[in-house]
Amino acid sequence: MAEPAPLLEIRDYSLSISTFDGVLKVLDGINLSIAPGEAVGIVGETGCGKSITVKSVVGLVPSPPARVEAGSVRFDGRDITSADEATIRRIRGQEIAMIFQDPMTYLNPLFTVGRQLRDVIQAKDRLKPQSERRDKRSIQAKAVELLSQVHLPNPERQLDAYPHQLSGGMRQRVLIAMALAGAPKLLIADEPTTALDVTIQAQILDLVKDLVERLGMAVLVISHDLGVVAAICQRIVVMYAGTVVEDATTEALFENPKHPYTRGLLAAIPRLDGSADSLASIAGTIPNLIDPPRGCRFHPRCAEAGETCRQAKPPSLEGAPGHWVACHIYGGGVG
Amino acid sequence: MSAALLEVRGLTRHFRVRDGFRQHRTAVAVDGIDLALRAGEAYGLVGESGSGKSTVARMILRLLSPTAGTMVFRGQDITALQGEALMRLRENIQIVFQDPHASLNPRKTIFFSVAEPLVIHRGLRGTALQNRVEEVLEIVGLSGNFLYRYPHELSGGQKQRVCIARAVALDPKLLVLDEPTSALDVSVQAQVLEFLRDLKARLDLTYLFISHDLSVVRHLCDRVGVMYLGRIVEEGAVAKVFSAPDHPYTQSLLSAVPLPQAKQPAGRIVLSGDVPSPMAVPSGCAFHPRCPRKIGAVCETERPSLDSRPQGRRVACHL
Repeated sequence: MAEPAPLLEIRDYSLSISTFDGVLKVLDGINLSIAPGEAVGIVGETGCGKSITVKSVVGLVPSPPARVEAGSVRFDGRDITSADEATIRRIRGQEIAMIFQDPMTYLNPLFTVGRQLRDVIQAKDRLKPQSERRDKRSIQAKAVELLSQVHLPNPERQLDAYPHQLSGGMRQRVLIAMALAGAPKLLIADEPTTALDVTIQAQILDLVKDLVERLGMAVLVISHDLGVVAAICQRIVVMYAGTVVEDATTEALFENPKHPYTRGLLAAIPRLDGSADSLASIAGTIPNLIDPPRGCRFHPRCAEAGETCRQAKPPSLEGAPGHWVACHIYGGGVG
Repeated sequence: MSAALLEVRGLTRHFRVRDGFRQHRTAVAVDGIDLALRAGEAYGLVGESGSGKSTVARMILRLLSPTAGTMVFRGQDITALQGEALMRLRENIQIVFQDPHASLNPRKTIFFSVAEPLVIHRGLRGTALQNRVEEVLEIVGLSGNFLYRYPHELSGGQKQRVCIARAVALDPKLLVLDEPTSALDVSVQAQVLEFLRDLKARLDLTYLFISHDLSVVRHLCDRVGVMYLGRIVEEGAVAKVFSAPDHPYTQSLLSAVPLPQAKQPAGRIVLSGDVPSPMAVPSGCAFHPRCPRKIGAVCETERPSLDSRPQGRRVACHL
């Protein structure tokens, strides 16, 4: 591929988690790369491994019980697969920042927004040499600057507010401001708008899009809502039961979806213009990951599955340029 | 046009909210709404959180008593029903809630959960009860195998079917569905939506469908009412309202939905600010502080009435 060196590159990444009932094979050979400044979305249903992929990459999944079985993760040219906690801490929150679904859970209700934001700025400063650290006044100024960057009205006044005094949309803006404090190269947004109303969701999506363009950072959006991902991302990765089934540009994915799961997902969405007469659902349920299906993990629910699908894991093939499909039938440009 | 199954006039609900020591403020959750459900239709009530849609549902079910207004169900005033009569009303109006997991008792079997309304209202027991429970589960597409399972053994979609089975066990006329698919994944949601559509025709039901998801309402409902801060701002046939919304709020709401397609339509309206608090509803038209098409002082001072417009639509706007 004639692309710039990826910012984040996940190769053949497999992860398992020991539970009381057995070993969950949570991720099975994930491949994912993000170029600098690129906006990529991961979609999939509950339990497909979207969140655990990114959490594991930034070292937020405790090990044990989790265990990296195979594969590697490279960030900005460095291998961080088995980096120690100290190294990961310098990256997490600094070069890779994250925002989550429920902004209230991530803010301390007992402290003002300003105090928490200043704490974050100071924590980043502590990684720098003494001479470059900010004094009190410039920390305050930085806090105001961050809040105005996320278009929070009256930033000076909001610094004295407690989280409960802010609305859901405003809290999410505060979290984004905190994420920006370290001038990250990659922003990971895990269901950033799921807890918000549509009109507020539209505001936050606009903000994220604007920040990506203005600051040139890459963003990885995780969502179960294909609409949200389509609104921000240039490229979409579809996950199913711990595997990547399709990876394509937003346009290709919606215009020309290849994988039966992707097509099933698209057919299941009710349309705002009423163009879907009846919704098709995907038969069956997501498999138990302690004993995942052999071969293609989607085969028990796939109408077109044949003998090969039951036996061998389909490789991810590039049918059209930049359009990767992991399917024995539709991979490699067929269909 | 068929006769109204349920007619609601001037329905209002205030909540007293504690505000400091021995002080209270009033939150206006529902502010004088008029609504008529026709027999056999699916009526969607949409709005953002805090718009009062669930409060309306809870008042119709008589789980909450209205501060003002009347509700007439099949010609009978149900606003102040008590005792025996209220019991009989509950047979006819049933509800399915958002989170099926929270609505089922984790320590009781599916049989128990579905049987309970039949025992209370019909006094069924023994074989008759067993047969009816099996019959109802059959209606929602669950086999007898599920009878003695516990909720944790079922998937989200199956649990929601159990909740629906329990709600239709008494042959209600009106089924209130409060965000029934919000907790489900899309492919499961598709199943439940298709099933609800089919069920309505089979059992001759009327739906009051409450949702914040516009696409879901578009798919399932015949008519839609859009709520903002406790008032209905626009109402009409789903296809008409969605293709050509009249109220600026409906327009921005529809335009705010990100579409699962390659190109997002141009000219999206992004509203600024948040929904005001129901404790301080703006004067005049409640939407005026955020309205992109405000025409002037009249919006700030005069509350627009929900006027009838052609094609059975009603819009509350000065435009």
